[in-house]
Amino acid sequence: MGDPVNDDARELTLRWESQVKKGVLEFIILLRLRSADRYGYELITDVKRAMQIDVSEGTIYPLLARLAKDGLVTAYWDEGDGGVARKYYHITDRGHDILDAMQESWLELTFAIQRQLAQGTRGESNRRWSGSR
Amino acid sequence: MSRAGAGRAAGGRSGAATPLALFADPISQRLWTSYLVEVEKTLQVLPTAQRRELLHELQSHLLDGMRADGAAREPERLLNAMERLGAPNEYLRPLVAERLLARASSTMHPAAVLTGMYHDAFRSVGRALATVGFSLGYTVVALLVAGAVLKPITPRTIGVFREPDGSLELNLLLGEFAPSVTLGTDVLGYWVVPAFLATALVLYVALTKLLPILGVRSDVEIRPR
Repeated sequence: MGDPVNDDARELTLRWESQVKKGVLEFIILLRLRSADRYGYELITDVKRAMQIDVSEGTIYPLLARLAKDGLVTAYWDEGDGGVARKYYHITDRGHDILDAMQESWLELTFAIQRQLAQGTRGESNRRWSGSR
Repeated sequence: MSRAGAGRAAGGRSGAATPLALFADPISQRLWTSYLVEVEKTLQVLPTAQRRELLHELQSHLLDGMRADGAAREPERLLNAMERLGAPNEYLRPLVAERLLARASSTMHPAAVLTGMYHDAFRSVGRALATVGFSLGYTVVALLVAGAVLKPITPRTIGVFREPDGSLELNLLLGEFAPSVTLGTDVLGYWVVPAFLATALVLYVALTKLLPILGVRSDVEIRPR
């Protein structure tokens, strides 16, 4: 039988992790599209592998439709390997602009979090240090 | 699977949705057709062009999923690809609802507004039903506790009674609201107090343990690995 306290902590951490990953899915999709045009299957399998998530692959299509509706991507059909036609997504100029803004925002956020983490670590060391005196 | 068949199945925006001799195994053929029927059913509220486009995209996705799958048998590869893609009525419903609401907003047509609202509500209908179920459950808990408290005050109207015809009847607060009703023989007597309290406790614990299922569910469901 597992340790209930650790199991609970693990469940909370996993739930938080899922929320974070869910929030950045569109950002990741745009990042993947920046380097090359990609089709839905390729995108979602890349995202699943890179982010280590388990998600129904079909969920990418409403997301891509939303990005297309917002003018961040366009799509075209092309024949891929084995004669299967695939719908490729291409990031638009507007998509690039939004992605740049997202990236800036992401860097600011991660920097702020890093700072918090560093302060937390220093505070912890100070407390430990003063406690040992 | 024939190369030409695959091309026809997902071959652009104007092709038919029905696959033409795609699979060697008739089981695969049936699985494929039934999945696509489900997709078509979910997407039926969308304009034909949009529906066909998405249908072809999903066909293409399934074929890619099958090609990447390591299973030996064709039906198994197809089933695995379908499972990874997900249930159409789950992953497509947000898209359908979103498009319908957008259309309703732009056309202002009452029918479009109603359809959009219906589909949007359907996304959370399970949660709404669960909320109603939980509310009823907690009401029963409250009634059981109230019955246990009131039994010593109105012993003839609260409890489990055997009617003259032999049937058993459970009464909780009837005596308070309908004092003129005559009840049969009191089967449990004052044992009904611990029985009600124990039932209330079990029900309360069970409902409360299940309460997290009411948590907000987003359109994108990510399962931790």
